[in-house]
Amino acid sequence: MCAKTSDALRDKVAIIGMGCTRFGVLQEKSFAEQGLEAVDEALADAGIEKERIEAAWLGTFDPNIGGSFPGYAGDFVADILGMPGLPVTRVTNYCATGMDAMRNAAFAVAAGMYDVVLVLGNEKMRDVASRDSLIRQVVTTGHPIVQKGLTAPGLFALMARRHMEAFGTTREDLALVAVKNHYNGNRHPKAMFHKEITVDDVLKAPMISEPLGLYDCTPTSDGAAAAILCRADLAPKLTDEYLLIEALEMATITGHRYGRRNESLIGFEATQIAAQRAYEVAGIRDPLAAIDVAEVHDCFTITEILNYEDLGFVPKGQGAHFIREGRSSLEGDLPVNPSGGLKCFGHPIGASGVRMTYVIYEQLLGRAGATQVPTDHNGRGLVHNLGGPGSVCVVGLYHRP
Amino acid sequence: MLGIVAVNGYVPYYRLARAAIGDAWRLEQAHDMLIGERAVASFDEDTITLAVEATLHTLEDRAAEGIGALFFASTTPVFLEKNNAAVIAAACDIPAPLTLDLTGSLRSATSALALAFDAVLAERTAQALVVAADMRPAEPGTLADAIGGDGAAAILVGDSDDVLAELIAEAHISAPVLDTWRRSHDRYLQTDDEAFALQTGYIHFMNAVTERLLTQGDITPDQLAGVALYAPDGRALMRLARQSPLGVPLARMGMTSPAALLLMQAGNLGAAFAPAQLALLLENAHPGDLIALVGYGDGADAYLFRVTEAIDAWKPRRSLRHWLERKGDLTYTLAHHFRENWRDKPLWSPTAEPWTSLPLLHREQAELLRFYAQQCTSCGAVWWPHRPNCYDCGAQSGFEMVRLSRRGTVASFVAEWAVPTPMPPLGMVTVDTPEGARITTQSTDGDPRMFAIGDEVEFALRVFHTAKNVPHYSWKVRKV
Repeated sequence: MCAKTSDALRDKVAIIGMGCTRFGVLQEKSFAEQGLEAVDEALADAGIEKERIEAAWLGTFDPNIGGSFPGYAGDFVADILGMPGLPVTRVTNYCATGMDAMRNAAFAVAAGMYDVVLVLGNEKMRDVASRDSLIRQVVTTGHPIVQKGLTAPGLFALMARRHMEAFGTTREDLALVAVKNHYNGNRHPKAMFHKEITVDDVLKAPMISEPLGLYDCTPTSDGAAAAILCRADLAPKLTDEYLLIEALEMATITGHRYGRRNESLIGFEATQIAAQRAYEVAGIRDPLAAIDVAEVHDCFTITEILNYEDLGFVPKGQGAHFIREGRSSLEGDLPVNPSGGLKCFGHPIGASGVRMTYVIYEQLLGRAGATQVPTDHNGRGLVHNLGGPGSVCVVGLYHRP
Repeated sequence: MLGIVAVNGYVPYYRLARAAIGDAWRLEQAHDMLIGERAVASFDEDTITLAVEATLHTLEDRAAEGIGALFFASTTPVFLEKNNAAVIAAACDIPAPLTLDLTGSLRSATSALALAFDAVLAERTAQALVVAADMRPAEPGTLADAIGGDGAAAILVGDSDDVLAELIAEAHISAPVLDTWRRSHDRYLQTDDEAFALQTGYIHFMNAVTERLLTQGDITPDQLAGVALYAPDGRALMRLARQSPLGVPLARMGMTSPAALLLMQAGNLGAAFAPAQLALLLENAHPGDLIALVGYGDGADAYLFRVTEAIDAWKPRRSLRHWLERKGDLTYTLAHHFRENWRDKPLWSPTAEPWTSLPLLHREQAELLRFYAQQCTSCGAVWWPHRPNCYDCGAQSGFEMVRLSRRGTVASFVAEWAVPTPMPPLGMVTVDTPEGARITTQSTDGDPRMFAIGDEVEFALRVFHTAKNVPHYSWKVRKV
């Protein structure tokens, strides 16, 4: 593994404003309308005019899921802002799209190319029936034979089965993740679902990719989230409250994990590498003690348990203990997904990484309302965004100045 | 010694009780015929996949290099234009330069056998393979639909000291008879006067060819230890037993005759019916036994074989009896659905055609159809399908294609309920092969929830789906 990390980004870039739509089935809003809503909120939060934006990064996974052509290219942002000439890059990198857009925008600011830039994560998946978005893609895209029929939940169910076999993790353990995330999401005004559930609800729900049932899976959603980034030295001149980007580290591995004999299928190597790099940049030896709050990629309940291990919160194999003992709850020693996570907040793919950053931004600035957790210890939060068959990962660390 | 080197048969996993067909269509007048069960090809099977099963179980570990000709016999070939036999040969990794489809006749297989023997006699090839597979195209609700069964059989012939049965005599008659027929645009079998078809067609020509065979072989009917023969149904079989010289061995075998056994447990397998019986007969044969093989259809073919000493050392790993015993029940509704509605659209929602690329299928034919994988000679890692580098060690050259054994163990599995398939849930199984490959593919033949990590599984050629009107063949897994 190439282990090169660099200080070139650390604390050079500030997040001075963020916005996020409510996530859910937003049938009343177009792809453009929900995107602009997030941008307007971020601009208002930063207290700047749109004319201050010098460049933008757009994160979308597949606008065509919702039948939209806008969103395939950066021109969509120039269009909705009415800013001819704006340089805009479109980023797509599976479910890690949002955080990769953040990462590339931050690079441009750190490099001195721009002072103020916009990141917009936007996805519309529910202009069609939920089954017609990702499940349909299993049919209409991809290799005609290799792994044909394996769905997104299926990819993770194969790992769930291995984790259960190796470590005795149970469906009840997985259910606890969904119960916690629904408890949290019910307290967040912008979450897709406002409903608490029980372990029994999870176990009795219809199977999707056995052993994963309906409540083990994130929904498909509409939503957008936006961030205004600027040079760190400029931030205090523009706003009173902001965060600094400590690290945005990425790792990709083969996307052919399920055809690789040397793959354990009990952990995400991409997460392990990206996290190790981020911790190295920030000088973190004990992530459990050094991080106050985390938003991690819980596309499926098993993924959150694997994340606990791969992010170094607990040793490999002990992820289930972390949820059983309540250590990731709002009152736990490291609250994970206080927003409700992808599971309850929703998962419009390209928007999620930016939305997770939005949640950490709220938390570290003390604006998280009913979901607020203490962040006095380090003033630091973690965002973890995982994509594809666990082959693309971005880990971000943010802190108060 | 010219004769049969190996033979085996295959019937699909699913069975349908004939009584269920009778109940569905109120076929009360034929209640005496609606006994036992028929074999039903699953939604992912066709005559090519059935033929591949029969061929692989016949060849087992034999080297295929000496097989210079492969004849595919069927009344229901998948492709009317395109070499079905070439697809079968590729899937079975048989490098035969001569591949030929013999279609349109119930005696395609028994006639193909004459060509196979001739090819060997003429030293055109050391061995020749005849594989027959059929799915009788009878109209739903007809008796023929209830009696018919889906299945396949393969016969490998050669000229060597170790043949299982030596060819002693043969006889052939060709004569057009209006018993059953199907024009190129007819979807279902056509019939008219069944009594005429039975007496003037079937009984007459079966007797005529048998008499010639007995004369050629200079034997009497009581010398026959067994007979493998085409029979449209149980009534015809019983009439033949009363009115034919073949009645002597048939009467001796009674309900244990392979024809009666197959009718009860699988059905009339069409062109594969008589060859499949030959597989059953040879399983219990003794050196010196005289066995007749008689095929019928616009005339008849008959062969006389003498079983050799080699029979004592021959035991198929999994014989046709194994496949008859391995089974799962199907409702009439699903069986009908497979046959009538899913034939051209297996697996997926009718509103979403799978993406495909014909150049891609061609580029990866060695992996997807012949079932080879790429081995890195630097580190030993095995990849399926092939790739430009070795992900594990970084090598970009030094790769060899290795033949996969079609066996493996379950590394993990999932039952997919959200994917539209005729028999939910769809099983997706990650399999580790003994050659070092890891392959994640669909499961078939039964509920995937029965798997456990570590289970032994085998790969079977199946149709994944149809796209661009092309059936997509590759390998699924099932429990051993």
